[in-house]
Amino acid sequence: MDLLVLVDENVWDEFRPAVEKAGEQWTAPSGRKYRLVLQAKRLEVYLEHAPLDVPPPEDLIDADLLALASQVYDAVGGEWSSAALKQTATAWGWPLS
Amino acid sequence: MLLHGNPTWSFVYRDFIPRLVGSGFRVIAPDYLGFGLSDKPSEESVYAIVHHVGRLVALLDHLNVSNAVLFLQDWGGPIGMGAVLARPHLLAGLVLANTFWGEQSDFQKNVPFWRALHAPVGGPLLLGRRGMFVNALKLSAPADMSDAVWDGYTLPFADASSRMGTLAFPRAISTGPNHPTQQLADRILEAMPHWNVPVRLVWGEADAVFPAQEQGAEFIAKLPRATLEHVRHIPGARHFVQEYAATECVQAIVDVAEEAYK
Repeated sequence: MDLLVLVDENVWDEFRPAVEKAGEQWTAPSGRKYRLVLQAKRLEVYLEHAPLDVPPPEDLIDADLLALASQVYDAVGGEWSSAALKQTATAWGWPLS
Repeated sequence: MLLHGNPTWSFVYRDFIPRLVGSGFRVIAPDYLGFGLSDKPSEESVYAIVHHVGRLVALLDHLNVSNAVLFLQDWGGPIGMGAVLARPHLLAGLVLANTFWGEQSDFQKNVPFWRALHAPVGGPLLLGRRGMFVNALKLSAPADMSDAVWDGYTLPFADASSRMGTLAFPRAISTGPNHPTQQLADRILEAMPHWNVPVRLVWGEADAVFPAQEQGAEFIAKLPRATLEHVRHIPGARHFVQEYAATECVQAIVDVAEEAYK
C-alpha cells in the first residue's frame, strides 16, 4: 500500500517539465522509491510501501522529499537551485547537515 | 472587525477583545477558512483571496454589519479592503497595521528565499510537512513570548493537513498583471482615494516584510484622511505588531471609532 506523503495542487507551468523529468517512479538517494502522479497542476507523491512494513520516520521522508525538490529546482534552473532551496530551508529553521 | 494574517488566527486578538468589549464595542474577529478553529480543507483553490473575501462578506451580511472600524494586519489588508469594495457601507474607519493590498513588497520581490519557500514541491514540504511558516512566526514575534502563547498560536496547525492555508497565502501574493490577486490589488488601490474615513496606522518599525516607508507611505499617499501624524511607530516591533503593542493598537481603534461615530 503506497503512502501519500506530499500533495501540491499548484505546480507552476515553469516547474512542470522538471517534475515530468523526475519521472513517474523516482528513487531517492536513500534508496526509497516514490511514485509521482502529475495530473494537470496537481502532483501527488506516494512512498512505495509494503502494507506490513513500518513506515520510515517522517524526518527520513522529508529528507527524501528535499532531495526530490532539489532535483526539480535544479532542473528548472535560472533563479531556482538546490543550493537556494537548502539555504531557504536552513534559514527557516530546518537544521540540514 | 479585527482581521488576522498568516500564519496567525483570532488568537492574536485575545488582548484586544476584552478591552474593546469593555469599552462598549461589538467585536468580530473571524478565523479565515484554513486558520484557527475554522475548517481546513485540503484544496488549495478554496484559499484564493477572492474566496476569502467572499466568505468574509457572507459572514458580515449574515451578521448584518455596517459602519465598522476595520483593524487590518498582514492579509487582513487585502481581505478586509476587498470586503469594503463589495460592501462600501461596511466602512466607518480604518486602522492599518503592517499590512498591504495584495502585491509583492520589495522584500518579497528581492529576497531569493521567499519564492523558494512556497514554490512547487518545495512549498508543500517546507510549509506543509515541516510547518516552517508556523514555526517562523517566532521570528516575527517578541523574543519573550511565553510557551503558553506559542502553544496557542500553533494549536490549529498541528500537522501538514492543517497547513494548506499557510501555503496558499504566500502563493496568493500577486507577482504581476496575470496573477489572480492582481485585479483585487488594482481595485483596492483605485478605491482607496475614495475612502473618506478616519484612519490610523500602527506600524512595527522592525518589519522587513512591509516596511513603513513602503506600504505605510502608500497608504498615507492614497487614503485622503491618513497623515503622518496618524502613524504610531512601534520601535523594535516586527511583523506581528499586535504582540508588541496591543495597548497602542486598541487605542488607535478607539480613536478612529470616536472620530467615526461622533
